[in-house]
Amino acid sequence: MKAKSLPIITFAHKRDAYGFAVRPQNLQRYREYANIYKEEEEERSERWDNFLEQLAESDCTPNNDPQTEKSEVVVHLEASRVTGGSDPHELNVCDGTEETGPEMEAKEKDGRGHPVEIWSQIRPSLSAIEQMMNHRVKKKKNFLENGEQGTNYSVTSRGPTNESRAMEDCDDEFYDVERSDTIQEAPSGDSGNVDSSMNVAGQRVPQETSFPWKEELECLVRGGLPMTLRGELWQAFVGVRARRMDGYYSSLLDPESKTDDKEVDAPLEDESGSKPRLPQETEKWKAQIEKDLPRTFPGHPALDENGRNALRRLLTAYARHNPSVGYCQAMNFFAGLLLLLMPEENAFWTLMGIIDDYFDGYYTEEMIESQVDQLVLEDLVRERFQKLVNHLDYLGVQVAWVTGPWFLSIFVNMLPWESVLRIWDVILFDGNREMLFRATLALMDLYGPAIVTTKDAGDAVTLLQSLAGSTFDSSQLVLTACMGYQDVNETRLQELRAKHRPTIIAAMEERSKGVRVWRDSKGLATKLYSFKRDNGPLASETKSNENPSVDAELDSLPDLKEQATWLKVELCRLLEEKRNATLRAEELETALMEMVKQDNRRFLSAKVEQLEQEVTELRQCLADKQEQECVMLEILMRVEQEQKATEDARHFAEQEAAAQQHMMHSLEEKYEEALSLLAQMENRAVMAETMLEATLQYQSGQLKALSSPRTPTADQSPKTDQSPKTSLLSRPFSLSWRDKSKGKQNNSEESTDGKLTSEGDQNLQSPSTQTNGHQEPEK
Amino acid sequence: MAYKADDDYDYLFKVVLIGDSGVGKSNLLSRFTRNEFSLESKSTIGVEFATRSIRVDEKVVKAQIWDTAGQERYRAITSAYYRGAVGALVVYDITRNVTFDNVERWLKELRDHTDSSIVIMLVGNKADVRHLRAVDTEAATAFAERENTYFMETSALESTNVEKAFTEVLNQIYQVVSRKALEATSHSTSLPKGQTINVGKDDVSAVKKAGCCSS
Repeated sequence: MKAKSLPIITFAHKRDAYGFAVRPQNLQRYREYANIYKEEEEERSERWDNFLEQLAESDCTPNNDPQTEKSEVVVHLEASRVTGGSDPHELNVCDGTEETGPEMEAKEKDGRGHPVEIWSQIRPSLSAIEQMMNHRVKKKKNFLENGEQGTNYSVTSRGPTNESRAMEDCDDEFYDVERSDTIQEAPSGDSGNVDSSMNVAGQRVPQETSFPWKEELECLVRGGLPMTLRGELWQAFVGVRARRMDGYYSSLLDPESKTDDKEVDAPLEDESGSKPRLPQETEKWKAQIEKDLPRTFPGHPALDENGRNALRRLLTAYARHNPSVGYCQAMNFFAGLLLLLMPEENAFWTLMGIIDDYFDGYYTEEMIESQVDQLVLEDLVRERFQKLVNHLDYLGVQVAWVTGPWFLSIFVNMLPWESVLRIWDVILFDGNREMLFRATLALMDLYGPAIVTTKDAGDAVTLLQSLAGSTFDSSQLVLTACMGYQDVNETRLQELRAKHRPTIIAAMEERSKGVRVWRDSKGLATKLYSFKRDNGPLASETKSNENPSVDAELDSLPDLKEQATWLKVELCRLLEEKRNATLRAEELETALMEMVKQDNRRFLSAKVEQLEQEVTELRQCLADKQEQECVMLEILMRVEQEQKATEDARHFAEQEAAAQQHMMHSLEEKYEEALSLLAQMENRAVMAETMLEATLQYQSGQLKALSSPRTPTADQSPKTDQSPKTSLLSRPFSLSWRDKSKGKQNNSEESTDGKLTSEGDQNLQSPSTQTNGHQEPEK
Repeated sequence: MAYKADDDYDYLFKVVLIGDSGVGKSNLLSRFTRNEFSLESKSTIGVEFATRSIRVDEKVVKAQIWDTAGQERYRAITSAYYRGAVGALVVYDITRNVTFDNVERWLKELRDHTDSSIVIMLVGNKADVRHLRAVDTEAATAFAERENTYFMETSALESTNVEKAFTEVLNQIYQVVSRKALEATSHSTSLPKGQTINVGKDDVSAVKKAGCCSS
């Protein structure tokens, strides 16, 4: 009852609504989601209320069925539920307190007054659901009782005493049954399932035909159960009522009352069947259970002294109920969780349903089914997440490293609580492990892309774990799982399980052999003992393996017989060592091969390739450069030639220019000379003209003065002939020239005139002839 | 993602923590990797995992530590995690003799599933609970010598020797690995390596020659 009141605990800020610790790194996200959870919870309880009301209206038959005698409780509980219906959190309070009512009643009814027996009926509004689920349980039971013998292999190594009746209860027959069920179900759907179940369990439910609301219920379950109903709905799903046997739980806890056991029911016969070994086995569980009690939800407010005692009783009872499982770590968490949601005995039957039925073969000594499921899961992951699987293979990560603990703990402690509970809702409703696979695949789907970015195995595992631990969006997870992976169904899973089971069993057998060998090699005494047992095969092996190194030790032994035995034992040891050595050698060889292959060759060849490529590139580059160089050189040569030519041309041109300049210079000189000569000549001409004019004037003056000019004139005739000639010659020229240059050369004329007038005719003649003579040779 | 990988490391060593249930494996791990200790730790289901990088000899060594469930039936599952482990801490509880007695089985288990060069350290945990000591240090030392393993007594609660034990294991692994690497370079794998080096040299000289020509 204390457990029942749990949800109302005023949780500290580090604990969630269920009182479980939230990891510090997830606190922030939890707070973000807390309000969403609250809203979801409100919606959900409304939906469920509506559904249950409809259910109650539509068919009243289930209520009339076997549990009518509890009608008082029914009314009582119904009232409590309705009052709290509006607010889930208040509802918790009501529930917690009201729940004591039926418990007390149950106790009183029981009458025996066992202090530990705490049992309560679930509320009758759920009885329709309960009944439907009970069919499932009964159907399975019927199949079992009909003695369907599938592939029945014995998985326990505990010896024959244990394997008799108990095995039927817990062995893999369940699976075979389940498989045949699902094969039947698959084509006809859910209603078909119910129908077939009814045919099987026909005698108990004659009047009902089907449960038309089953699909609606399935939807509701996937949407999550309301906190207030969860405990009871779980019991209904597991079919606690159909499983329960009055007084069984208390008898399990009271070893003294063993004598009663035989009369109670079948499972108890198993118990008594294995009775001789019981104390020893119980001892073993006890130690482990005691260790784990404080390690189950440590610090949870509900798990105080009383809580732990209840947990101890529950686990002990289960261990006694099913010795092939006994106690396995992880069950402590399941039991603890169930105790938080329901009374102790209810929790026991629920736990029994989960472990014996849903998770049959999972928590037994060999844990076969759990290993099989991991192989199945790996197949499924490989099918669907190529990229992720390639990456994980590359990193050397096995999916099972992470998912193994997920499956074994049914996600408890692996995901945030809200998500865990939502998955449990579906698992318990489905009655199989489909949801485990679906949820895991959904998680891979969600986090695969992030995992692909990791660089080593450790990072990948850590990341996946931490991401899973922060999956607060429980609705997304459950919906992805249920909708996205519908094809992962029980039929398919059974096929895959059947495929992988032999591998695991073979490995297990190999292992158990190994353990025996270990026991043999423990000490000389045990060796001898075991040798006596396995005398045959060893003797034959002795011949083939003679080892000289033993001889030295051999001498120290006195008795021949003893020596022989000792020798044989020694041989056993050596054989084993040899086997180990060869195994190790093989391992080492493969490791070496791998190392060489992976580390060296691949790396080196990659490097070589790279270098070669670089070289070719460089060579190519070089060739290009050389070609360019050649072209450049050619061009350079041409340019040089051209330059040379140009220089020559320039040189020539310069020389020519110099010559021309020189010529020009000389010409200029000559010109100037000529000019000065011309000036002189002009002067002279002017002078001569003036002189001529003067002479003419003088002559004319003389003619005027002389009356007979003939004689003197005749004497002077050469002279006079000469002068008019020149004047005649020069006049038109000199006159015209004088007219032109009169303004310019006025001064010089005057001065030269002055000079020239004083000079004689002789002077006038000579320069002209001189200039003429000078210019001639030059040309 | 909000995830950040440990930065570069030179070596990655896988180490497993094994031993009976309740000897304190998980707390040794949390003490070493997060410096945390919890009196209220929960049972380990299957395996748990953590990493931490330390410095050995100027090299960064990243330890990948797998903490396994102690209950006997989990061995079938946990032995799968031994693969590739180069170091192991076999833990017993100094206050419970039976956990020490079982060490032999754990060793056997370990040697069956791992390489022979694995570095093993025997760890007697809960050394702080002196008044309840049931396993003598001398007996454990002698046993460790006989089994050719290292030995240390630790207390995850008081944090004594935890760091030392892990560091010692990692250090020894490092020694083994570097010795192996040395041997590997000295013979067996020399052929492919030599080839590459030759190729490399040729290439370099070729490049250099070409360079001379062109300039």
